[in-house]
Amino acid sequence: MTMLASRGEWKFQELKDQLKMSDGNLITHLRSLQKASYVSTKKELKGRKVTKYLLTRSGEKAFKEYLRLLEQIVAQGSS
Amino acid sequence: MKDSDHALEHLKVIRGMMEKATIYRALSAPAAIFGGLLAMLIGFYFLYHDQKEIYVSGYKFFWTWAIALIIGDSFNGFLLFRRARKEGVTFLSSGLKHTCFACAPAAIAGGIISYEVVEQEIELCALVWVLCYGVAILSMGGAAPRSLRRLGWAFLISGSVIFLVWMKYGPAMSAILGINTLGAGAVMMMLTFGLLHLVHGGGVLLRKEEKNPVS
Repeated sequence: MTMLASRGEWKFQELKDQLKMSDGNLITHLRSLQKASYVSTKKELKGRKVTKYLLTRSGEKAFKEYLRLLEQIVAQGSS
Repeated sequence: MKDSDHALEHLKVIRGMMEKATIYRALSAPAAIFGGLLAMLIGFYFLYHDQKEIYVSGYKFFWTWAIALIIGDSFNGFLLFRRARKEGVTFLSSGLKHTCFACAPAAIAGGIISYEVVEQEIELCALVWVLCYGVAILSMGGAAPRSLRRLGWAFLISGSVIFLVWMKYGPAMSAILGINTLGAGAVMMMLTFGLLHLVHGGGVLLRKEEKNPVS
């Protein structure tokens, strides 16, 4: 989610390289996020089919809410 | 570990990942080496003119380096374009736009000041370029990789040191080194734009090879 929130679109390979995850592990995570409507895909044909992943509106909202929640916990802990 | 510690740890990981994902390599290693070699070549050309006491106007000095900058930037742009195409990402990315906007103020200020001083003091013109180039790189902030930020600091520190030393001992050093203002400007450009770019480019290439050794 963090990677997808940091910039527009990510190819599967790019995500895999950055996160250092196996294909199976990454695809499972992405499918779960797709099921929750947090992530959408975009297919492009550039010689071969390339699938790009991007955050949906509700994904962005959920990510921001999650950050806010973490900040709240930190603030409560330090007060 | 408390919940707040867990949350803080999580936020740190997210921040680190976001910073890593938004880093933009604005200067490729081959372009840095090419720029360094070009600076050395032009520096030697002006140093030769200085030693042979062939008159070179300040504006010729200015425009020669300006053309070198355009050639170097075009080569760098070509490499960035090729890399963007290879990776299937847009060339005019947010990283490139951020880099251009961040560098613009220092580049504009440096260009104007140096154009005004070059006819009177070539060394000062060179020093303005060195300092403004360092500031321009550092203006990219966290979006630039660490190696590029180090290059920015190297330009800023070497420019400041040369500036302070030259302002105080310039005439004496000219006499010792046997160079005039043109030669001094050329040496400053070779030491900074030439040498620092070569060291930066070489360093990045070496680290890349260490990470991906050819087996």
